[in-house]
Amino acid sequence: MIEPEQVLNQSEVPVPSNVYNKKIRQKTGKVEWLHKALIVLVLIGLIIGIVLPLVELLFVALEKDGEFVGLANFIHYFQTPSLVQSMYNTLSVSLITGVISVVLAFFYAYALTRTNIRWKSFFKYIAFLPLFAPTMMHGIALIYLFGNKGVITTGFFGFFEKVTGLNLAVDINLYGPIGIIISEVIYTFPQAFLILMVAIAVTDYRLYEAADTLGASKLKKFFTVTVPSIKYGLVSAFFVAFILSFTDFGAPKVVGGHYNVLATDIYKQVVGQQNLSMGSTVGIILIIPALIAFIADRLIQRKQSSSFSSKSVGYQIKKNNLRDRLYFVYCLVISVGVLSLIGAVLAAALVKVWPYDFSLTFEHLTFKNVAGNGLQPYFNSIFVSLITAVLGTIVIFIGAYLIEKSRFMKLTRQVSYFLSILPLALPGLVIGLAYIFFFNKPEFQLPFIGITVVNPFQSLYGTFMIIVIANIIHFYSVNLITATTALKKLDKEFEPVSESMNIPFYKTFASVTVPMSLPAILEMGIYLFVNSMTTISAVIFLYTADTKLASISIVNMTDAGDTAPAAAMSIIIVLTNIIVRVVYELATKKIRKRTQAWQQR
Amino acid sequence: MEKLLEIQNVTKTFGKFIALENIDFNVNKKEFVCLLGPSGCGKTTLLRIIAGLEDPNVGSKILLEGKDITDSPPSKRNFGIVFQSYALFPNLTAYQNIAYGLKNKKLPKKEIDERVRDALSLIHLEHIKDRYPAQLSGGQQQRIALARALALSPSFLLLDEPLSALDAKVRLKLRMEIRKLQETLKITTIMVTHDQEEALTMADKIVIMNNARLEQMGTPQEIYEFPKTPFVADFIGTVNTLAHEGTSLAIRPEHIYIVNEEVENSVKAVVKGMEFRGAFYRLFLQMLDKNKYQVADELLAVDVPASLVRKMNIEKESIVQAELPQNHLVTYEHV
Ligand SMILES: Nc1ncnc2c1ncn2[C@@H]1O[C@H](COP(=O)(O)OP(=O)(O)OP(=O)(O)O)[C@@H](O)[C@H]1O
Ligand SMILES: [Mg+2]
Repeated sequence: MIEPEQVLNQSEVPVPSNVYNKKIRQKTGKVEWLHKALIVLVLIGLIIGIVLPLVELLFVALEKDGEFVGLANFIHYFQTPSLVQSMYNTLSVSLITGVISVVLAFFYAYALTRTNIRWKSFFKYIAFLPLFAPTMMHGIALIYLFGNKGVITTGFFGFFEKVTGLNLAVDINLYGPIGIIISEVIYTFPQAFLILMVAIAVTDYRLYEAADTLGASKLKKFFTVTVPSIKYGLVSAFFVAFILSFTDFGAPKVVGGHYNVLATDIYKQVVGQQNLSMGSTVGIILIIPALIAFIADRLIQRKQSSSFSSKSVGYQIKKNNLRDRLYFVYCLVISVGVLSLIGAVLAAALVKVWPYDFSLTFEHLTFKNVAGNGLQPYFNSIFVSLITAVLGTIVIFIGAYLIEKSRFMKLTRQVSYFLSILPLALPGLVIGLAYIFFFNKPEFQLPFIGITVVNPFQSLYGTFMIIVIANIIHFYSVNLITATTALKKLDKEFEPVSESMNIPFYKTFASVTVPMSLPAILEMGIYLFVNSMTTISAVIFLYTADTKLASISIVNMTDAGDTAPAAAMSIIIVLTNIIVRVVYELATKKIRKRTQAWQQR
Repeated sequence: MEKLLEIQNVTKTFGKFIALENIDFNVNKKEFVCLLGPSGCGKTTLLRIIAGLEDPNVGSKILLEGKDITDSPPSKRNFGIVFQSYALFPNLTAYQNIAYGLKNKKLPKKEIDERVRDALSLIHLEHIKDRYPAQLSGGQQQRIALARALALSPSFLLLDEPLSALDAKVRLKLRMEIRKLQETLKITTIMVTHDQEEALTMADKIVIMNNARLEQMGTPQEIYEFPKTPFVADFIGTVNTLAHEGTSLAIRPEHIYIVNEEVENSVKAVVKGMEFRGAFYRLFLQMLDKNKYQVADELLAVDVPASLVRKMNIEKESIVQAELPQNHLVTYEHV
């Protein structure tokens, strides 16, 4: 009955050597082959979509007139005062944007989480409104409010002066840094707000109770409890706002005037002067701060993850009428600001000739006789956004699934994860530029072996497909994080259990993983759709006459001075996005409810 | 007895960290084996290696009915598994969860239905078959997971701390139920646990692990009565560790007798503390003759039936004779 005892003597234990560390390799069945092939495919896709184009971009930056010149372009860049000036401009505009945006968003988020003000959900929706619009729209709105013939600049067209006898006209010198900063603050506000709201919501209330028992004053509590506990959120929000405005193209294009920033420089170098090498050089310079901020943000987030324990207690809002009234006014002012922007654009789109003839017209909505090719760009946008949403969601979710849930090829998956997160640091302009070089190249010279291969992807150049691919890569990281977060919530033993029952992974993927992650999957789809409708930076380099998008036509129209139709197009985009979002919310209510019921334990 | 699984020389490293070191043991057919050890000793890793979910180092070997399965993927090993989290598919009903593996086998619908119903009646949960996991109690979820693992009639069953997520009462009940089920189905089972009581009550054979190694293996009685190492003695139950003429000895409190007069192997001691434990008292004795035995913790723990304490009128500071019977004194080889 009893086995002989097999207690090992300590002296018998072999010293681990490298050979000894080798693992036994499992035999691979058909299903495992498929699984591994998919993992490899994800990596190959990411290499083609991200690494190779970036390498190509780097090569172009290192050459001049087809000759390899090393860092000469970079040296030339830093020796050209006008170019260095735009770097300085970009940095200062983004820093100021980051600070203003974070401060405004902080108090707004604070109001919505820590006070008892009314209309909270209304304020929340308003805060997200700018996300539905292309950044050019913020610029256009500002032109109608603060431009030469703007409502405010002219003191409501002299109306105030007539009524009050005072000259209330204010000219803020819109075209230039001021216009850019205001537009970027509007653009980055929702993102900063979202990050800060989450950060404030997870602060442990027990800390406040502890501070109360120690008799800390309100101000002291603010600086010793509130600020430290959300400092990572503050830094993160600042980085996001900074990067977004550092790399934005739309707003400076519309209200920048003669104030140059890096993003508009790239465009001018490439499209205006056909100086591709200098364009790529600026592109690479554009990546650097974004990359630094990206790495810093990653490091910070790693630290933060442990600060909220399951024992933490949610914040309990105390009664304070004065505070509530102050915050209500604050939120109201911001909301009115956001709404008046949309109102201005709406008015601009619907009146005959601003500011001379204010009679209503739908003429601008026909886009006849303007630089925009009628409504075709709008339909192109819808088409591209739908394809991006469907294809992108499928590709990104499957990619995230393989990275997160597989037990094979750990190293490959880690590399894929890194590449999947990388686009977070890649400005759209850089992606677009890199894509021109990569997809436009007839053939590749393979290094070291001297073989030339025909570029199999060249046929994509100038098609809708290249725009779709650029969009998917551009928005890859955010959606990967959404997918990964949802997948992490699922029990990590679903896959081993299925394997023990000899059920292929794709069956469990289809019958458990996907249904359980449906809300996240739909969220990804809507994100991809909305952002593809509004994006300009990546696609500005990739469109042709046949594949022009709505956002591009807005730029074309403002360039040509057709501001009213540009406003009209912006409004149509915003409305489309709002309608899509509302329909989505209504249609998925049931799905979300059901999934929630499954998820509670 | 026929061997079903042979675990030979299994080693596993994670980078420089050694999670398992030369683990060797056999599992006989129809046997219930418990892997017991403190947290982090490598139990789960070993179970996952047996399942094929983790690749062991070169040189390790696992045989199933004499056939080498070390490099077989999990799907080819024919086992059922229940994890600590149960991993029930939340979007499928209890019935669908159990039918999940059967459906893939392309069995006729009627047979699937029969087998699911059989499995449900085996665990007495026919009435909740249409509920989703979130609508089941922890114990019910646990049993559904068990039924799902058994529905495919696997050749062995792996359980990773299947009871640890349940509260004490349910745990006791399920302990018996799982063991009864295992005996009815005669299915070879390996269960991971860090609860010694669970292992002692359920297992035919206990494999005690510590720090990536196998410390001792044997029936619950053997392990309890004759712990091979101080670790095992200390891990299972309470033990007194003594030094005697340069050797190390161990004896359990209930194996020490209080006697009326001096006998062979008895020591004179004074009662320094008493704890009432219901049916017995635990006495803490200080030996008066310090030369014979040296007690590691100064005081010797002795369990004495409550009736005897009353009869002998033992109280604090009483002088008593404690007998340490030779057959219960365990000597360690390498300490
Ligand atoms: N994938 C891994 N990478 C690195 N180390 C690991 C990995 N999996 C397990 N380990 C380490 O191996 C050791 C044994 O882990 P294992 O999960 O087998 O412990 P256990 O005995 O099951 O403990 P518990 O009772 O807490 O479940 C632990 O120190 C653990 O940190
Ligand atoms: Mg474990």
